[in-house]
Amino acid sequence: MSTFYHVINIILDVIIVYAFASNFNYFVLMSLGFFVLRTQRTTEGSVERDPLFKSRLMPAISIIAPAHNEELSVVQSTRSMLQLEYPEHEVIVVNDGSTDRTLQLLLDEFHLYKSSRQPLHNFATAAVKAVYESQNLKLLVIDKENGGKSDSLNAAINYANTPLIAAVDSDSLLESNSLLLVARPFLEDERTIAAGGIIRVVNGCKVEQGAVTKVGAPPSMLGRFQVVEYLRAFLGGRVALSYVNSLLLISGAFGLFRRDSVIEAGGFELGSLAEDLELVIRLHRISREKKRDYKIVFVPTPVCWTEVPDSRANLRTQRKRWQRGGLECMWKHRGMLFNPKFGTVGCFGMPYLLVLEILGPCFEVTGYVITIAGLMIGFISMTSAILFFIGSVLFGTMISISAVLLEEFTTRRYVHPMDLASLIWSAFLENFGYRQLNALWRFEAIFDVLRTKKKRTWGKMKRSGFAPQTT
Amino acid sequence: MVAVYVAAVYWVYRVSSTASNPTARLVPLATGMALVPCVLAAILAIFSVVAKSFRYRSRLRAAAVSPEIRESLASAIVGDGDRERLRWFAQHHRRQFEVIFTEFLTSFGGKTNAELSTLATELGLAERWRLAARSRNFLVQKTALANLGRIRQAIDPSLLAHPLEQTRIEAACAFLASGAADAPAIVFKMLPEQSPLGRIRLADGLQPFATEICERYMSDAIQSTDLRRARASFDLLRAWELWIPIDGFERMVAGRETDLRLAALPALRYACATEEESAREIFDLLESADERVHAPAAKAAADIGISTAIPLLVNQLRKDGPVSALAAAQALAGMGADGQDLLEKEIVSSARPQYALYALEQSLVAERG
Repeated sequence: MSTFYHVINIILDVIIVYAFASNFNYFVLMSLGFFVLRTQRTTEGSVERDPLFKSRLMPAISIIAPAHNEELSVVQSTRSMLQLEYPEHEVIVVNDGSTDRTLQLLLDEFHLYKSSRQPLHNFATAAVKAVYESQNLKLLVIDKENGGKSDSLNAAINYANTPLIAAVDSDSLLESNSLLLVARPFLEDERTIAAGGIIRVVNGCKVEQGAVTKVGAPPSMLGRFQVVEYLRAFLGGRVALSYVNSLLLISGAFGLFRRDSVIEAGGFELGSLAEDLELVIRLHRISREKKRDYKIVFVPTPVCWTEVPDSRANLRTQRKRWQRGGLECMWKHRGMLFNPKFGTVGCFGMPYLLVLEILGPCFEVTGYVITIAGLMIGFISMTSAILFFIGSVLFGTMISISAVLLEEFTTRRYVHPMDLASLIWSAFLENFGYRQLNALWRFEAIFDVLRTKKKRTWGKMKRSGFAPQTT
Repeated sequence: MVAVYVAAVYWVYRVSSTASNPTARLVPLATGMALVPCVLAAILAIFSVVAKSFRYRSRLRAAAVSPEIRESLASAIVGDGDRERLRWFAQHHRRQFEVIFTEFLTSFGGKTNAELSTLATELGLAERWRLAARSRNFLVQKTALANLGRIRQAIDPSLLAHPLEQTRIEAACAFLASGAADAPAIVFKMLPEQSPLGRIRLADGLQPFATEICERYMSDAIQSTDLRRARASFDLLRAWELWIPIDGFERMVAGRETDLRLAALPALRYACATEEESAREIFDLLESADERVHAPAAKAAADIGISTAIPLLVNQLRKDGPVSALAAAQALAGMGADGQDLLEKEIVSSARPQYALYALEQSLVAERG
């Protein structure tokens, strides 16, 4: 029995050390993020945007947006993409075998005609049924059999004929200057092969004619928790990882890529649940293997607004999908882990993703289980259990509040003081239930991957669309 | 603060170090380590909310006073404004006044801009911007430089060598706007060292001096052995979109590196004196064995309207890969009736009519409006 207690003791020590190390790591990333953002704001803040907007020297961009049963938001988001400030851009919407009125709405709203446009590349995709174009707008709609998100993105790449391609979710809204801002790294440094913008939560914002006109915190607590999470992930983690050229994730909702780099990498991986993460890791891998000098960057200023799940069931599906996707990618590219050949990506970015993001829930859930079990059998004293819980809440609160403050000290998108107060309050409250639930869902996903060969699906998320004003 | 933190953690460590098992030692230690930064974060959060409330109120006040500032400024420009009132705004609503004043400066040119420049000096804005141009805060410095440029005031030329590109660019634009005689030459020389983003901004600033630059400096730059310098010149011509013939442009480009010739292609229509001159370079590239130059050459042929290139374009349409074939088809469609007739024949007779069909369809849709 004493050996058993000894083992449990060691596990508990490991978990405590892990919790401390991971929180310390988040804190370091957050601090680095703060300094990078402050420096960027003063050194790179552009005074004049007009010359860029009208310049012939800006590289043309194809915005590619897969849409599957998006009848509630597809027209608004397509309109918003067409209205973006950029000298030369084309929008390619891929109707991925929708069973609702997605295609019909696009045909009616934009007066599309059946075009004989041909693909310029030959990524294998599900059959394309027809291609439609607009007479007056730079809009192409590809109607194809259902093949999933990666398949649709690849189909759009086949038809794109511009040096840069922006992968965007058709249920998201881009801010009018977002393309100009996300294209900047490509102009500032010709080594840039991919750049991602920040994803912000649209729930609670006022949307008019495909544009966010008033920024506000979501009315529901679940929405606000997710705002805090997004701020923590983007302004803390990604800014810092980008600074050391180890950014592994450019969100599928808004990323800009060099077309030739994506084609060289073989496009988006079919059937992947985290096609965005997988592509970026592959871009790193190829560039490092070919010993190229390259950059993959995160830009905090271009904003893509997205609707986040407002129910626990939807959120659970989304988080499980992310976790499975992350695991898949990590397994596929396991050869890069701790491999000095891949520089900071192999020795810092990948271990960070594995240990803190993917395996984090295992440590967290095991910690809770052992503490509760230890309490019940009297192995752990009540004082230690309470202290363990308080310590974890304190660390979590500190990191989350820092993320909200980071937003406040740098980008300041939330104007009303009540929004800031409610986000800070949510940063505290998320430690009582939400964080644990999240860890449990993600742990469940790991378990699913290990135990079953469950068919990988994206799952359905019920959306309310942008048409009604959500404030 | 750090000392307090270290002392607190050490105290927790000492207190818990007598515990029998490691868990009992580690847990209080970890909690102790988390407590101090968490309390600090919470205090900072409270201060932030308070500060935001003040900012929000001042924002509301600024929004309320903005229409009045605009009205007073507009009246001052047309000559019947109350200068004392303006001065009061400039002193008591400093930030908002400056924002609106800058808005006016960027919106109006000519005589109104000159009037605003005088006003900026009179109200002390020019002096404030001159001081801010030496600020150690780069954002403040850049904004001040841009504003000085808008009111055509001289700037410190040493800023043209600033280590930060954005500051350098703003300084260069302000330097050009100041009207210094040697400004175009100096800024033109800066071009190759800048990123493409910097070149876009400088191209915009240099546009008023386009003729002078083309006549005096462009030939040397194009013939330079420094490829970046030659490339920057082509970018400039392309960005300006002004037809300013450069003597012997085609000869200077022909025979140079392929990448450089590709960069020069979009500039042909602006820099060649005659169609024949551009045609020689385009023909040479269309006949090249390197397929990647065909598509841009076809586009250039269509942009200039070189109808003699039609046979070469037909050949390209039949033999090249998708990107190049599509470019050839689109170029043919843009060549008027001759090109379109050929496309129709290709649709009927060719083994791969798809590119011809698409190009023709596009031109018909464009014609229908």
